[in-house]
Amino acid sequence: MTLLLQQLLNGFSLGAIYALIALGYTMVYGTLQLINFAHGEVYMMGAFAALYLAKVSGVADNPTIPGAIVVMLGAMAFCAVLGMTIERVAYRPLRNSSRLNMLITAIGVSLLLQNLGLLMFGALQDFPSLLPEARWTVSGVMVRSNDLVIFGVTATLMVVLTWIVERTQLGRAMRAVSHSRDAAALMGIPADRIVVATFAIGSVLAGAAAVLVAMDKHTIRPDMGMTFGLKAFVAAVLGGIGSVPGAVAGGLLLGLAETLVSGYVSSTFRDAIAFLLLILILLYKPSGLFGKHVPEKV
Amino acid sequence: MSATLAVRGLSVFYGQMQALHGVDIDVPKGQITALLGANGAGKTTLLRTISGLNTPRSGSVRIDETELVGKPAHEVVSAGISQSPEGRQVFPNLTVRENLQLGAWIRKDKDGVRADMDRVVGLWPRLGERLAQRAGTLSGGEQQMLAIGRAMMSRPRILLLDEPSLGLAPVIVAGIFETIQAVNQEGTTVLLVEQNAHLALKIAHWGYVLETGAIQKRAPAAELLDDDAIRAAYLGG
Repeated sequence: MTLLLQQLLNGFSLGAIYALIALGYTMVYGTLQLINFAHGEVYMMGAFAALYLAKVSGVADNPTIPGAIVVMLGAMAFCAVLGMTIERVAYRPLRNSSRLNMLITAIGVSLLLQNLGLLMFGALQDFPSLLPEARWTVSGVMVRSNDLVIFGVTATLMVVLTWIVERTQLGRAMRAVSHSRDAAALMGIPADRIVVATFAIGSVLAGAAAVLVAMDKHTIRPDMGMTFGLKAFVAAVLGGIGSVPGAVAGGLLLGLAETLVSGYVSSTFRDAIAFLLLILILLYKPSGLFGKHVPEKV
Repeated sequence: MSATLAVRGLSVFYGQMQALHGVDIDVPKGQITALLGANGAGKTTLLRTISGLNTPRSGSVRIDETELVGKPAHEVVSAGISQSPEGRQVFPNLTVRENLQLGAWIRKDKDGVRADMDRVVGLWPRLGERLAQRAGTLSGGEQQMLAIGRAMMSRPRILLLDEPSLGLAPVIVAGIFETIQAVNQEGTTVLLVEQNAHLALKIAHWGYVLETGAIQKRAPAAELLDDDAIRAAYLGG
């Protein structure tokens, strides 16, 4: 029982991170039908931006709550700018070309950023504590302060995101553009600006996820976006790509599946479970858990 | 709240295929102009080009003195032209209220937007009963009302309507055409594209006939209603 509770706690913690990153994939897919493979690298760059900020601001030597908030907001802002730049430089010129061209460009941007990271930062770097860390044992289950931070930050961002998507004119426009760019343009909605906003929001979430992971693992690497990004992408597909609640559900499901498998079966299969789930979902429900089945128009 | 639309020498291509051959159209201020034609004549292409969704190879589209060719579609709305597109194109996953709110995207006057939403609901109380419902759950007639209402929310000077009668029961169509006439009488210029020539000509001031991408005829609507050739081709004898 204790083991199960422990695994559930760890699973939700990991799943929350997957969900944050998956939202970026799913929102961009919703508006552009593009799988933005560079999203994982935005996440990676966010971690290094946070490291730099923590060192420069002195938060690395003197961890405090306000300091951690400043570093996190800084990394989020950096990712927003990076995401918008990628959209402007790499994707917008291809807006009217085939989806395959965009996809290949996305892979190219991903490799470029990853190698740029390797060149600039080396293979791996230590990441300092941004907050005083603590751990408690509650009836046999170990609860770490980092878990609480992950839950708190993720929940806050989800509430803000839901508010933007459901309650603001920007959110309505995002949903309209994802349904039909032409119909949205007839409302006077500048689709390009909405696409930029979508990239910015997705990247901000990736930036937050990067800081949460870096604080938790204490090492960051230029290839961290590769594996984590890929799994978050699986989470987005699992939930139904294009669906915001789907990304959250897919992320949590994947996080739980991974920790349960490593807890009860073997940690060797930890990574395999993500792709096993992907294969199963593609075989039996290709539109994902929350996805709509949209027949191809001819 | 009204304007004149002038289309001159408009030619549009889809790849090698020419869809419009130097089309000239005048939509006089404060009136309803009907554009008739069979399927594939180029009616929708013309409306899409006016709205900036298609780029013409040559020609001009002017609202009063402002040239619209070259402007992206979202700026055409700011210039005063709003369209209820073919097939209605309501946003199915958004509620009726959200669809109307997006129609007012270009506006910043919250009170005016609320007043206009009341006006649309006043015209079609059935939309008022369904404000919180997703647009995809509405009937075809209700979706058409929403599409026109949504286009009115930007307070256009010229309203483009693409086949508002398409696929709807005659009694619903009659109601929608009455409302189009009422909106026009409040001062909005209307360009109405229709296959249902009889209905369109009955509320229009002017009529154009478009055939395979070229204007074949322009006359006062009443005259077209009596024209034997038009009767034979578009009015079912």
